[in-house]
Amino acid sequence: MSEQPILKVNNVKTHFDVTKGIFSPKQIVKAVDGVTFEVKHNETFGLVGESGCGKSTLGRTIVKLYEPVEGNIEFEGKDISKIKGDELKSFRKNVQMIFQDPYASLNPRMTVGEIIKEPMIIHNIYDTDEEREARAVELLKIVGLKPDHIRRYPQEFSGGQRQRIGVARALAVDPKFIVCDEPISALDVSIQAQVVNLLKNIQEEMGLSYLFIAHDLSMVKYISDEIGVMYLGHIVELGPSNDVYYRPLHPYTQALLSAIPVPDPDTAKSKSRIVLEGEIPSPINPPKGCPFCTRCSKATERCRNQVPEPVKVGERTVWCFLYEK
Amino acid sequence: MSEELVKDIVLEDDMFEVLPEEEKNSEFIAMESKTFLQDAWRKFKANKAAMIGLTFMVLMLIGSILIPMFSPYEYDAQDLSIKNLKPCWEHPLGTDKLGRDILVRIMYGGRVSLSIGVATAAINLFIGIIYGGISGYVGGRTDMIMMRIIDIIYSVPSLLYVVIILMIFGNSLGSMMFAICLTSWIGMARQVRAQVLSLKEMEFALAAKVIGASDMRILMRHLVTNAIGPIIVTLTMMIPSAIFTEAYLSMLGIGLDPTIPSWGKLANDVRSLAFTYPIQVVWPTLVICLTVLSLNFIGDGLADAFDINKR
Amino acid sequence: MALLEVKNLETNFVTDQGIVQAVRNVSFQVNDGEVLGIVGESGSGKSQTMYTIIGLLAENGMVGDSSDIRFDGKDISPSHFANKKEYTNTMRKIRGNDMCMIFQDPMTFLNPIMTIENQLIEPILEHTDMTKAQAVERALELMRLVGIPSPESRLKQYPFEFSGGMRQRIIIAIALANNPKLIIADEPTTALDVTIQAQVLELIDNIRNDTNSAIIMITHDLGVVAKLCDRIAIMYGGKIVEIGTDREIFYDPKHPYTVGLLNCISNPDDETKSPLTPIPGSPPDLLDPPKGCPFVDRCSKAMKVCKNYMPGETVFSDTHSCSCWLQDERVKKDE
Repeated sequence: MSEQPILKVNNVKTHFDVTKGIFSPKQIVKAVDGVTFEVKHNETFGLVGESGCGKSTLGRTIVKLYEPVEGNIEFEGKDISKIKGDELKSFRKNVQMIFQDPYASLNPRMTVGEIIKEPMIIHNIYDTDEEREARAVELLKIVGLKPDHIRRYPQEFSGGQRQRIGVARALAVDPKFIVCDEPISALDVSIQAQVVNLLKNIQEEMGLSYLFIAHDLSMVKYISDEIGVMYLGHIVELGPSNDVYYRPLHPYTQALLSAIPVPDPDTAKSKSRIVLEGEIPSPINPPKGCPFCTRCSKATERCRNQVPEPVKVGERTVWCFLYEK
Repeated sequence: MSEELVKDIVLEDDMFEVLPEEEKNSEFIAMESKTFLQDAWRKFKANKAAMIGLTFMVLMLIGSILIPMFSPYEYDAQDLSIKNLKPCWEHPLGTDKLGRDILVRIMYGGRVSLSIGVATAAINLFIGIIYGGISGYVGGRTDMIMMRIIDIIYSVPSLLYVVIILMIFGNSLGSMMFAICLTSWIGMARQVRAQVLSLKEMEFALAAKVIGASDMRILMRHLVTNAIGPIIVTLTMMIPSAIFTEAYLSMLGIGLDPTIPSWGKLANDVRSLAFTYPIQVVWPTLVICLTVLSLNFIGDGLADAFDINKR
Repeated sequence: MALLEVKNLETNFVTDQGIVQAVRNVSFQVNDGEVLGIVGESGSGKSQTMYTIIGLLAENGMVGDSSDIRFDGKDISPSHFANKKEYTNTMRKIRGNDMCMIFQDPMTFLNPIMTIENQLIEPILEHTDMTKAQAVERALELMRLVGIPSPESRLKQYPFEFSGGMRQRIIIAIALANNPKLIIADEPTTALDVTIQAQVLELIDNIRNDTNSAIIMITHDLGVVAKLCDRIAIMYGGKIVEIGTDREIFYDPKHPYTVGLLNCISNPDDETKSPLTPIPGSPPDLLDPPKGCPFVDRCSKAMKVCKNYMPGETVFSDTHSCSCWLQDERVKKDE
């Protein structure tokens, strides 16, 4: 196993121009504004944050649904910024995505079989339809569905089942890396655990690496080896998942963790919470300095004017002046 | 749904043994499977208005082909001795001011009007899907330019185009179709573009991109197929629209060659007879209205049938 | 006497495919000032139970004749009224007044073209004799109560000028307008971010402490019920499968579904990442629910009797009971 990470994200910025008219002042949504991290082979990197933090945009930038305006992304050591044609196709064979909404991520006019076979057709993986069909049936079994489901339409399935079809589709090309964009958020609690377990099992069997994007911190901690916490387009803290979860350093991570309702009455009713005042600022006009300065109880003048540089604390990296050496 | 009182049931001890896995029904599927078309047909059949509309159109179609073929009267056979007859056995709809059998003329007119309607709709469908599809899919500047072109074409009154075309190319069936197509393709293009714009952001379209599908594949296999509902509705609206356009052009006197008895021409001919022979006014009006109504119902029925959200 | 008493509630929906049994023989009560949590997943019937109680059932919904709902001593069971008009009129006087509901999606609940002021004074003017000026004063008071900063300047604003969390607070303010005896909250924080959710939950907690309103909290989030609720009812497949105090449910769960739910959420305090035990399968189809216990197809301890017969209620204490064949003596006898 090589030491080199399978994915390297270097100071990636993804901005969207939402200027209203030809004559209005320019308005740019800085969805992702300078993010750097790595994912190692066979590892799961969990990305958490609240709405507007840019985690979904980052996930989509990595699978090249969006192009970054600055920075670059390296997959298996190779810069993927400008790839086209066959190189792009080869990239798409290696990097796949599982989407959030089980009701919108499957084409309602295609059967389950057609959905799973399509990637195989596009990448010429098998020569005959029989081979593709056989592989599709195999994939359905791997995700826990029955072979005769292959002729049915997505509408006939429940949310959890549809999500598993989405997983089967992603696996059809035999990828190395899968971006999971909030794959369990739209599912019932008892089904969430099914999908998470499925992802974990196939990771081991197939040697996959994941980027797991979610807002449910407890689930992310469970499935991830490393966690990155995002706020307003920046990563504010990253490190081994248990470390980040049980010993958070960044004030935002601390507030976020304390805000999670604990499913334990004695703890929940007595727990005092770190109160985060105010609202999440808009990514169109982010604060000049640290993105969190408007809500941080420990913010100083410096925080309002300068963006913190990453600081290494043990195995972790924090973007906060409090930890400057 | 009352439940039997638990206390009153005598249960054997073996009922308390573990239930074997096979008897559980865990991965449950909601409804039995049909192919997409079967399901659409089933929904369409259940829609009474749509079925009535379909029946009418089928009858009209058959009538317009067969009646002029088998009728003893030619559509342009004049016989002044039997002019302006009321409906009777030999002439079920009566005769017009030149003694021509109205039934045959209406049915012959059906051939003309319906072929104008269907042909223009088909051409518009083709052009509209390509233009609207590309505009909506590519988006950005290309979309803006393509839409501005449409706006420019649209801003000129369509009557002007029609008059110019008919003047240059004469008033045959072909040039009439061309004239109608020229502005009405815009409606279809806009509809397709609107659909494509909203569908291309849906997750299944993004998923298609991520698995490596080519743009053409995404556009045709994923976007257009899901826009079928509104496209069909627009299509079925275009047919009556074309018929109307031809009709009012005839009323204005710049329509088809006067010897061709389209419905519009027939309606125009009887305009002055409202107080003298009102029954003759009824026939072309009735047939145009019923056709338009039927096509609307069919369109609605198709839209519902192709709508995956409706059961 | 309990504030709200529900007995044998049955709600069915007539659809093209047949009759959907959304709520099947549900009984519970809510006392003054207490917070009852109703936990369930999709298809459990939790929302439809509440819509039935508050009289907002869809056109094709039918309530069973033997269903009995009593609120504050009054009979408000839809099937006990002579005609629909009487029922609607009775409920209209109660809704927005003594009984209020908070919905999940703050975006769609507020009228986008009405100012906040108008939406806040609407229930006040409808149910009381206050003048408009007095109602506006009350509206400002409510906005301060729910923690909206500088209410005077925001009164005449429109919903789109507020963020999601703020809108949810306004909805809570509207619900509190006439000091209701019962507030029904249908997943009020599900659509909100974690930190905003925490703010809103704290607000609800404060309201519970400061006013004497009883609250029914519908949610699928066990963390939320642990924080706020005094008692919890667990619903599955249209039925209440277990009901008890918060400590009883979390620390002494009896029903396999309750146990399963608690096992499949990641325990935040567990650093070892022991595997989650999911509940296999999916929720049942309410068009054709199983004859016996609704959980039978997913229960690891299912017995033959569970498939064919509905279990009765086993009472453990004044507050704790569950419906499960495993509690039957004949099973325990063998242990």
